[in-house]
Amino acid sequence: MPILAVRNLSYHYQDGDYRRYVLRDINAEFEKGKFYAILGPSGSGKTTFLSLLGAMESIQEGIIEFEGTPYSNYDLNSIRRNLIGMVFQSYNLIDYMTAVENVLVAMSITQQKMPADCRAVAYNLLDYLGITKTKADRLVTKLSGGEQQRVAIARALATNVDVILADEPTGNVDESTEEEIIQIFKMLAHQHNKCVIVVTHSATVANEADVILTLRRGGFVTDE
Amino acid sequence: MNYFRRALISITRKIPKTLILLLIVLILGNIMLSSLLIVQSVDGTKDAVLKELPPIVSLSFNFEKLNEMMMKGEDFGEIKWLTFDDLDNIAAACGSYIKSYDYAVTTGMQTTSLERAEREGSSYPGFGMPAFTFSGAAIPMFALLESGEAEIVSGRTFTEQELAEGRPVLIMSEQLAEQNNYVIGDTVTIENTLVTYTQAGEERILDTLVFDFDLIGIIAYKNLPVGESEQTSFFGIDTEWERVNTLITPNNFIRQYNEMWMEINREYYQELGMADFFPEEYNPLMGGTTSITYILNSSEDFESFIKRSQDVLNNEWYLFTSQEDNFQKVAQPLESMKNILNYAFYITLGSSIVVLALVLFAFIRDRKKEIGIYLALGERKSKIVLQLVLESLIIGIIGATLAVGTGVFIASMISDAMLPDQLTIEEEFNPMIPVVEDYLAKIDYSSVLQSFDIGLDIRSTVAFYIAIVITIILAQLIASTYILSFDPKKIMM
Ligand SMILES: Nc1ncnc2c1ncn2[C@@H]1O[C@H](COP(=O)(O)OP(=O)(O)OP(=O)(O)O)[C@@H](O)[C@H]1O
Ligand SMILES: [Mg+2]
Repeated sequence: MPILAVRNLSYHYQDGDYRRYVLRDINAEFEKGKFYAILGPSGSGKTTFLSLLGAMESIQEGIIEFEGTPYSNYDLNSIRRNLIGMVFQSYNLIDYMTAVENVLVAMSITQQKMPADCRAVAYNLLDYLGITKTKADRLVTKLSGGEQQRVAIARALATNVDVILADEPTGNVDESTEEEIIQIFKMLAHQHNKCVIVVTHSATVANEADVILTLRRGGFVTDE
Repeated sequence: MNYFRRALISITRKIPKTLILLLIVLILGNIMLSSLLIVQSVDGTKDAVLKELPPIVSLSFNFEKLNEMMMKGEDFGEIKWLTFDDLDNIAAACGSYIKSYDYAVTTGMQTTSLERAEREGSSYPGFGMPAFTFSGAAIPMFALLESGEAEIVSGRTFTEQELAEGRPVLIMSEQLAEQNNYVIGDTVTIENTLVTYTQAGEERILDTLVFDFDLIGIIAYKNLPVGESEQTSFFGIDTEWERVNTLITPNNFIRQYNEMWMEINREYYQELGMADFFPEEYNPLMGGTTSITYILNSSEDFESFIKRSQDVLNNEWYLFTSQEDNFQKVAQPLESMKNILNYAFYITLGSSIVVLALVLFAFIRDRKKEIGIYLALGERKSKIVLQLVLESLIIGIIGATLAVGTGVFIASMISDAMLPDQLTIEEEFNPMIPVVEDYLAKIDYSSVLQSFDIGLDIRSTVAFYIAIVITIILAQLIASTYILSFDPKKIMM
């Protein structure tokens, strides 16, 4: 069974009296252990789609199911808290906290069972993603863009979720960093059995993905 | 990293925000606390001053009202004089407040048997035979003694029996005793002649009464005027000095004495065929020159006693005056300062909520991204608000504690600036209004000022912390309504 299933999903913005549909009757399935790339021209609705998957806003028409249970059975907060991890283009870390503290924030909010020694686990996780303890104790503003994005990924992973959503995660980093981050996503999908969905403009990212979905005129054009 | 830890980190790491909030709380807190302290200190001063003095309430005829009505030519009908029944009713209704009460039936008397004691540099202002006043006592510790206005310097006071039977026993001032060479144990014989003038202008002696008094006590007055008399009042008599020429006897003696004179007068009026003009019954309290002195158990009972007694008496011709009223008169600058700062407190409280809400609103706008992150991570909005409330509360309580350190100092500066060093109260002098003696102690401004002391007390401090906490919570909640509009998608993506 796919971990995420999208059925007849439509989404519009109100433009005066006129509904402008960004997503139209989309159907898709996402599985654990796979790395998905979503491509599409600017304004095609990639971010909108990802924010719906990430429960950042309510669904207007259609259904998204998590392991067979529609999102409408949960409240949006709890999906974000317990089921899905998100990574953003602009990292979105809390600037007056250290890297490890940023990870700990997510661990304190989730209702997933967390280990007793959260801090040690957070250090390990960061270390695994290439952030040494010295860097983990630094304010995030004193880390490079690539390092900050690793912290953001660690934060998304820390709550033991199976789905990682990322909106242009390499949009702000150079090519070699991009490559490293892609490797992290691949590893998460293939070694840790996560479902990783990345919105991107980058051909490099797309080439490494298991599945590429292209959004065009409100719908997917699949070319596996 | 729960909301409590997050609050602590935010306080310690976002130093400018913390300092701004601290400063605002410190400034507003100082105004609030110093207002509270001054209000409390004025109350404390009043309590301290009143506690020092015997708790006395005086009930007296309202001559000012009578005077005013006469000036305006208003018809005031028949005056309802106080009666002994009234006094019994008050005593019955307010017994729990009253320790004792005294009144002095007074009557004038002219005699050549005694020499008056005059004030230095003055001479007897009247004409005819020297005038004296009989003033009565109802209880052994009569008001003059109980109030501390006078003390017995030799001899003793009346016994209950002497008072009940109206025995001819006498207490006089040391000046009068000295003037007439009397000592305790002497018999003071007073020959009292009632004289009238016929239509032909001839002097006619109606009757002569002779009393042999036992001199049982000599008293010294505490506050006699010194030096030469400046102010003469009611028909040229120096009322402040006149009590030196007052003979104190049991009320019941004076009542008997007055009744005797009434009889003599009645016969004379009958002889003149004017008996109808003569009052049927003798009420010693008629005429309004008798004031009743209530000595209460506690100075805290003034208000309740007066309210209760007024209801029982139900007579607008009479006034209750307490030491508290005297304090209020003298301590006017303190009272008005208290009122101003009372307002200041509530105005500061109200504007603090507005000012703080605006500042906290700005802080939230500044932290929009951070709050968006919490929301994106699935934090409940209520927890976020809780975190913000905690942050401002912790800073607020630190600020309040600093303000406790400076508040006393600032309160003293404010009160120094607001209180005059001296105060002269212009007593209105009206020669048409007789001065009825009461035993309310004189309170002067400088002694009030001396008792005025600004210090920290538990009540104000607790009230202050509560005010700060309420202000901060309210302001933070108002500002936090902004968060309700936050949409994590718009903030983050
Ligand atoms: N809040 C909004 N109100 C109205 N229209 C919006 C709003 N947000 C996005 N849109 C419109 O919806 C369409 C899809 O936007 P979206 O952000 O999903 O595109 P995208 O594929 O992520 O683009 P990009 O590659 O530039 O990030 C765009 O035309 C955009 O202008
Ligand atoms: Mg986008």
